[in-house]
Amino acid sequence: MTGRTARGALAGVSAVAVAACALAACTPPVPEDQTTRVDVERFQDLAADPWLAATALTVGRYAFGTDRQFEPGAARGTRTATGTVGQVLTAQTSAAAREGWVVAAARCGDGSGTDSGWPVTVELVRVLADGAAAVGEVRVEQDQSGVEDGATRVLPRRVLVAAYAPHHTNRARVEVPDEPVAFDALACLGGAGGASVGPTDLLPTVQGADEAAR
Amino acid sequence: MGLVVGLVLAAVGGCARDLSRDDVLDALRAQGWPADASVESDDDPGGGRYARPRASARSDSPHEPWRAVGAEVGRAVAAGWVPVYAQCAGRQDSVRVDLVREVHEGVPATATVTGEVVDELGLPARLSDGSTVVSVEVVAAAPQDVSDRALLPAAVRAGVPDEPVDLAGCLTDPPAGGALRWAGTPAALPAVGGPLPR
Repeated sequence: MTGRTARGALAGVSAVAVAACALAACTPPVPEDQTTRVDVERFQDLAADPWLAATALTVGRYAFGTDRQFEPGAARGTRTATGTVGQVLTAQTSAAAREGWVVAAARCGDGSGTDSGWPVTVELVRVLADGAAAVGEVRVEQDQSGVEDGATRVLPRRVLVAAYAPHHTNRARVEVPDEPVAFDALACLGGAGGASVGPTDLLPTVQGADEAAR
Repeated sequence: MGLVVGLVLAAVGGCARDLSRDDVLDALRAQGWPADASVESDDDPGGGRYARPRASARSDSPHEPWRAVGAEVGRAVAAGWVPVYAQCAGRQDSVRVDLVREVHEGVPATATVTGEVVDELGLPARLSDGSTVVSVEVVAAAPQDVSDRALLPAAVRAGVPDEPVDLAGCLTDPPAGGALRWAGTPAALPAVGGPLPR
C-alpha cells in the first residue's frame, strides 16, 4: 500500500467514525421507565388469554429513536375457521366474551392500506387485572375466490386476532360498553347497516397514537 | 493436596460460569423431539430486546388437523414434553397445542404445535383441496430470562408442571361445528424477548 492510499483509507475511516459519533449523539437514550412491572403485568394478561392464544407478543416499551414515545404491549395470533365471514366473526366474538371481551366497534374495510385483504374488522375491549382496558381486534381474511358473494359462502377462512395493552405512560381511557355492539347488519356482511358501528378511535387511543386524547 | 484444590476450584468455576445462548442452542440440538428440526438464534435487535434460541420443524399430513396434531403431540409427550394448552374449532379447522419442558437445568422451553389445512398457495382450504401442514415452533428461554423470569409464560415461571392438561376436547373429540374451544393456558414464548423491567 502506498503512503497516499494509506492516508486516504485513514481519512475514510475517520470520516465514518465521526459520522457514527454524531449520529449516536443525536439518538435519544432509552428512558429508564421504558418498561415497568405495570407493562409486564399487562403483557402477562394478554399472554395468558386463551381466546387470543397469541404467538407473537411484545411488552410495552419505548419506540427506539423517538423523543419519549412508547409502544403498547401487543399480542397477535392466527387460526383458521370455517363458515361465512359473519359466522366466523360471531364464533370468535362469542368465544372472546367468555374471557371478558366486549364488542365495542366494527367496520367494513375500504380495500386500501391496512384494510386490504380484510373485508371487516371487529374491535373488542377487555378490562385487565389492574383496571386498564385492552383493545382487541378480529379480522377475517378476504375470500380469495374472487366471487361476488364471497363473504356469504361457507369456506375455510384465516382469522387474525390481536390485542393491545396501553403502555404505563398512556393515561387515555378506553370505555368498556355495557352491552356488546351489534355488527351483523354491516353492509360488508350482507346487511343494510352501513360501513361501521361504534367509536373509531379505540386502537389509536390504546396505542398512544392519539396525543389529543391524553 | 494441590490436585484436590485444583479440582475444587475447577468445579466451583464450572458452577459459576454464566449460562450462554450457545448452551441453550446445544440443549435444543440435543432434544429428541421435534425430529429434523432446524435450530437457530437471531441477533439481538437492540433496545433491550433479545433473541431466544429456537427450533422449528414442519411436515405434511393427509389427515385432518386434529389427527395430525394428535400424532405429533404424542411424539412430544413420549419425549418428555408436557401439554399445557389446546385450542380448536371445527374438525377441519386449525388446531393448536402448547407444550413445555426444561431443556437445560433451569431453562424452560415452550413448543407450539399447529395443524392447518392449506392449498398449494398456502391459503386455507378444505382437506379435499389441500393437505394438513403441521408446524412445530420450539422457543427456549434466553439467558436473560433465566436471570429475570418476568416475561416467561405463567406455565413455566415457577418450574415446569407435572400434570398435563386434558387434550381430549381437541384431539379426541373436536367440535363438529365452528365453536372455538380451548383447555388450559397458552404458553408460547415469542422468539424475541424484552425489554425486561427495571
